[in-house]
Amino acid sequence: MAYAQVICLTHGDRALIERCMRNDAAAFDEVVSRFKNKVYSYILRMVGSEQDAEDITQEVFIRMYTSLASFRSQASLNTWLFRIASNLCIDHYRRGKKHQNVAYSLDEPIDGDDSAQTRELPDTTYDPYRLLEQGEMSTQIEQALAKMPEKLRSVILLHDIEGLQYDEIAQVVGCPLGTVKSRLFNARTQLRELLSTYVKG
Amino acid sequence: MNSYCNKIRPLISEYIDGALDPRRSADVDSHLESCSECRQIAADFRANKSVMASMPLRQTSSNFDTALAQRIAAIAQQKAKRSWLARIGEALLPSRTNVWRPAFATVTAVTVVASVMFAMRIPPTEVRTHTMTSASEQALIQQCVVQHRSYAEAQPLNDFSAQALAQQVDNSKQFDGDSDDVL
Repeated sequence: MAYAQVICLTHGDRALIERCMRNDAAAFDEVVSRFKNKVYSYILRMVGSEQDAEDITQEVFIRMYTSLASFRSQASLNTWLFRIASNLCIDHYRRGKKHQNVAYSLDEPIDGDDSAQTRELPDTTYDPYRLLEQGEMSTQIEQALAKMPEKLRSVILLHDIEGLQYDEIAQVVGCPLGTVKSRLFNARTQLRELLSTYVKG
Repeated sequence: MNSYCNKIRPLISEYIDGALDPRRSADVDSHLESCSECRQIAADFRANKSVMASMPLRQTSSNFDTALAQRIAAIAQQKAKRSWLARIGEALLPSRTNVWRPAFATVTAVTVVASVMFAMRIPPTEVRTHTMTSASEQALIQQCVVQHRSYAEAQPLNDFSAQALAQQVDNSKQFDGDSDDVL
């Protein structure tokens, strides 16, 4: 039952939550400004679409606002917000709103203009040699992460990017500590294989 | 790759995080010294982890805060409009979280079932009642005896406590020449 270990709120978190409970708007704004980009980055990497990620991030803070009364000191504020975010991402997948690359023709005529447009666009197709040449290791990793299964991706994002500990991740994704460790190992192994595929071309 | 690699390899992830106990960490250490393949895996894990830790945060759009503030304000307004009845309900049931909901449901179900069973268990008892209208003491005693016998018929007991009164009533009837239809 190690995964159920209680992580106490830090003093700062507790004070902030108590102020939020007293309808202190400044405290709520502080929570939002402190966590919005962290939560948004995680959600964006999980769902892939900026618009969906922004909607879900807003929903995270709305859920937090509406469930402040039920918040107990069983998790840090960070863990609590990521848990809400993780659950909303699962809901998003279940609704089948996975991000898809919808093809819009950028050469379609603009309103009031009958002539077709020809535009200069950057090539966003993946080219491992180009990326290697440019030293864009992080871009390679971003693309490899997007190809990983959600369960593995979630754990490696939370640990290696967001900096959560194993037991905090267990709370966020709702699984035992051993599962977190094995998922993290599998995620790192898969990431390594994906990157080596890119290098080999 | 040998069988020992298979045993050690799953620990490499925890090893690079410094999450292994000293004994296991030493086992991995000594294996990595002798196995170039596992050593390469550990090096790749470390390098990827390092890059991921330095990846920049993505920024929300410029109108994120405004849009969120509007949604929060709408919820606060909706909350304020709620009826007094809903507020009383919430005051009575403040902990309607997922943890308590099954407990409330169980208690309610048990209460309903117990009430139904209790109601079905008690048979309705028919007791004849008599209104006391007589003014004289003798008539009052007669009515008491009549009522007593009425209860005794409904719930027969070996009760001799009323025998003296019954005898007294019977004797007085003999003297008065009353008919038996009274009793």
